[in-house]
Amino acid sequence: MKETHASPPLTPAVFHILFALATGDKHGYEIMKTVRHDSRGNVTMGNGTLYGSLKRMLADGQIEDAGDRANDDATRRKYYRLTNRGRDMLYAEMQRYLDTVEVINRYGVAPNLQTAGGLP
Amino acid sequence: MKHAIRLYSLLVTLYPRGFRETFGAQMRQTFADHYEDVERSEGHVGLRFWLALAVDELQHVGRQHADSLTKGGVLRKAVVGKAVVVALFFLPLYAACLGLMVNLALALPHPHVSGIFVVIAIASVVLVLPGIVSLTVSCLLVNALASIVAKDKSGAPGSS
Repeated sequence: MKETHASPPLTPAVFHILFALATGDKHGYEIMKTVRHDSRGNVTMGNGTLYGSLKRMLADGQIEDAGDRANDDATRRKYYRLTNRGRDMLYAEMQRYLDTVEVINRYGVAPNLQTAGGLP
Repeated sequence: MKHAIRLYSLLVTLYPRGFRETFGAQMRQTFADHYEDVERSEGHVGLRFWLALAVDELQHVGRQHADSLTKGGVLRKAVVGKAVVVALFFLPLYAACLGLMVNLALALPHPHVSGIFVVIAIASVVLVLPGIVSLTVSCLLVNALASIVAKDKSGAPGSS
């Protein structure tokens, strides 16, 4: 199967981390919470998955260290930021999803998820 | 809370050193945030939390060790390099040992053998025995050479 998009498909963990960082810099637990919230609880990420993915994404230049910041509780936490490369990869993945939705709509094979109870 | 962080710190020590140095403190902080959040929202931290944590961490401990071993293909290159040198020693040694075994087998007086299985068994011994001997000798030679080279490198000027 030939892939016409610029970057290879992303793993679910990487996609959700990039998606979480698209709305602003975040620290580890903020990323975890955002992923759980955005996926409606379908994707839960443990520390091992999160930091293993962050390590690979840092090495690949998809994200960068945004420095340490102190929150309301005065504890300093490391923040991560999306790079241009990461944003491009996220947009390419979103385009793949949109293309898939377009094909589903064109063939009219989408199940009625609202009434079937698939979506809240 | 303190005991939980201490227990989690033990889990973090299972990660490779490089990974631990880069992410260890962040992982402990993220764990503390998560633990505090669960305790606040659910009233207590149950077995399900610890089980999910242990499964996730242990999976990734293994993966990070595998990553650090094959970092930059160092391990793969070393294994392939060693295999090539072993093969260079092994092939001539095997040819020599095989020739010796065949000559010995033909020269020595032997009883009349019959049956295909007996012939195959004798042929296997004649073929395999030199193979085992040659491979063992080759590996010993390559290891001895590798240790001499490593000693030379560590004793070279400018090396720390």
